[in-house]
Amino acid sequence: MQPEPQPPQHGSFQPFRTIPADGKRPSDADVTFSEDIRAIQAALKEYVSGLLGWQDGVEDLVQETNLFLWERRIEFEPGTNFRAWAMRVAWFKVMAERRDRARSGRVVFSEEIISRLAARAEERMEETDGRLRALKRCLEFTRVQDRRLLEWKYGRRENLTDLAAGRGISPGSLHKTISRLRLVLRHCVEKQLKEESSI
Amino acid sequence: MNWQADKELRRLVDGMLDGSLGRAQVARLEERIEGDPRAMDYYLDLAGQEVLLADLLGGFESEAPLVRPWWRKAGMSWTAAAAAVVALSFALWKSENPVQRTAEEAAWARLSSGMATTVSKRSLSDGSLLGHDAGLLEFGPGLAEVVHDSGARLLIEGPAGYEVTGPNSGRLKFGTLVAQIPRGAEGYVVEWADGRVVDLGTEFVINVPHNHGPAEVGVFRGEVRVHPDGAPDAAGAPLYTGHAVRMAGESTTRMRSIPFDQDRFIRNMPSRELPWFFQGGGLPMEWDISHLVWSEGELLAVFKWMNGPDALALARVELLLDGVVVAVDAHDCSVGDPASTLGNVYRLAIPAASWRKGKWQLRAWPVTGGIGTRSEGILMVENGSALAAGAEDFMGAWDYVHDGKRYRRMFHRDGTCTLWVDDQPSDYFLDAHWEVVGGILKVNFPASRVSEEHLLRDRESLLFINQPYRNARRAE
Repeated sequence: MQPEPQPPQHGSFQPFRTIPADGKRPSDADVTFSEDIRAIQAALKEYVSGLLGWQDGVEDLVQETNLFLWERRIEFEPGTNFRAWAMRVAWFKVMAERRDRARSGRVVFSEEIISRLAARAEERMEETDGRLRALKRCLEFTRVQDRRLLEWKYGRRENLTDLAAGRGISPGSLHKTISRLRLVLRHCVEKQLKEESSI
Repeated sequence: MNWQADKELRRLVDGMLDGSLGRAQVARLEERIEGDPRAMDYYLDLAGQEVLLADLLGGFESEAPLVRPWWRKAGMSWTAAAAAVVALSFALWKSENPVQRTAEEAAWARLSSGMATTVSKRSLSDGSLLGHDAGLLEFGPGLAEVVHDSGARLLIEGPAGYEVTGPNSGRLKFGTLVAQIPRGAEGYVVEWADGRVVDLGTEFVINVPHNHGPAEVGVFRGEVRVHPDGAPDAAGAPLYTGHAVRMAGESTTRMRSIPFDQDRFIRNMPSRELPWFFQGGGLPMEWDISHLVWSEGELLAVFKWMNGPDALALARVELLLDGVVVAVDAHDCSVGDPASTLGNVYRLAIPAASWRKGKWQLRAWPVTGGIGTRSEGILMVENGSALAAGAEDFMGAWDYVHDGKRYRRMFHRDGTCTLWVDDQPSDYFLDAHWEVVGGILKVNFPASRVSEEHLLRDRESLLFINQPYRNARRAE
């Protein structure tokens, strides 16, 4: 039996729930399109994150993709695969970013490996919502001090070196803790997904 | 047996996610990923997890500000309080006699707390009601919190000019505004000179430069619609978690995507109470107070003991700006035993010439403690209204809770004071008298050389300087 469908995590609100300040009611097509974009945010982020590697810039790239999709919404044919179109746009954005990074001397994945990662990431996309649900549950099981550290790193985006200095410990030790937490959470997510699928 | 990532793969993937790998290491990671589909899945799992964690934790509710608006009862989260305000607003709207609405009912928003100086013509203080007649509120350097009747909570960083234009709308003339919109308050609109943002349930920031430069909008979590003037798209452009745009007149959409530097913005009213943990030794203790220092003038550093068997003895407290000492107060202090807490208030003057934005730190030099010495407590950093308080400001009843008991202490005009414990009168303050010296209230007991001391953080919050009690709130 499949688990109960959950409300989407990315914005439990409804777009256009309130009438815009200009009083103009958005078209039904715009509302639907906006919901489509919102519904793929987690998958889009996972996809871009996997291709770029270094987290710096992932969210900017996703936003550029969102804006591009929105500006070109008239070109989208209802009934065709919106997700595939969005991922294609994201792919081009990633490649452009890769080119810029390489030009500025930063280390990047090769085009070939990005292609392979993209193919595999697309296959995994159907499970994004499950992974997100599981991760949320796993965070609830996290020890208080670990949760606090995760909030500092991912929620407040604090610099680990500064954070280590504030706690009187070495940055290396904090990096090790983060590495351990990554593994613990991954393991927990795997376990949750297995349990879900065995129900 | 389950496959597990080996040490090398773990190190490479961690390095990739943190951006710390060199060329050779990235090439090695590629080899590992290409050579083993399980390694590829491991990498994709962690890369995806990384960005989803930022999403899930980006909107976590941080510790609530210690200074709460009066309508926020203890234990209520600000979202719950906001929901209550929304319900209250609705009830008022449904009132049968709208013509006779009180000033409070007619207000669209409330200035709930702040560190910024108000430079508007109208005199404002914490709790001031803001209705249609409030006009433009101009804030000097610092932070101010405005809560709309809808529940929308705004943290405004001055210098800034903001006008409340409705129960769920406002206009930002210049400055930086971080908006936290709870459920039920979606639709909050903030306008600026050449555009507006419509919130759809979120936390976002808008920065309007004073020099008429292009405005920037960024979303910490959730979604907003950005409507730059002249943009062809009447529906506005959607902006999602982690993204930012800068207005750009030359672009067809009138804006451009920009990197979102989230660290630039202050998202919560910083706490004036900073923890300290003393474990012996003579090394200094340091605190970053950058978000608490907004102008020249006097700053009070009050050390308060909370727990631990040993007293903390200090000899000197320094105020530093970007690593350089700008003010010093050197005197002996001992906090730990309430009967012998002495000298725990340090006064540090920031000269006008020294003040600027930067990294402000407090550094306290303890007198070397013995091995095994330990105690913990808080450092209260106060300025502004705390130092200007007079006897009139302290007068009245103050409520607090300690060890499960409810206390009310009352300061009377004639200099006497009374105490109730769980609604029963106590003789604790019999023969005691109070006075205010240099902004500090002292309750003097004839039979004791040690006074009980209080500071007034704002109109509603009374602090205990040398007693390990929670802050008292003004009784309604």
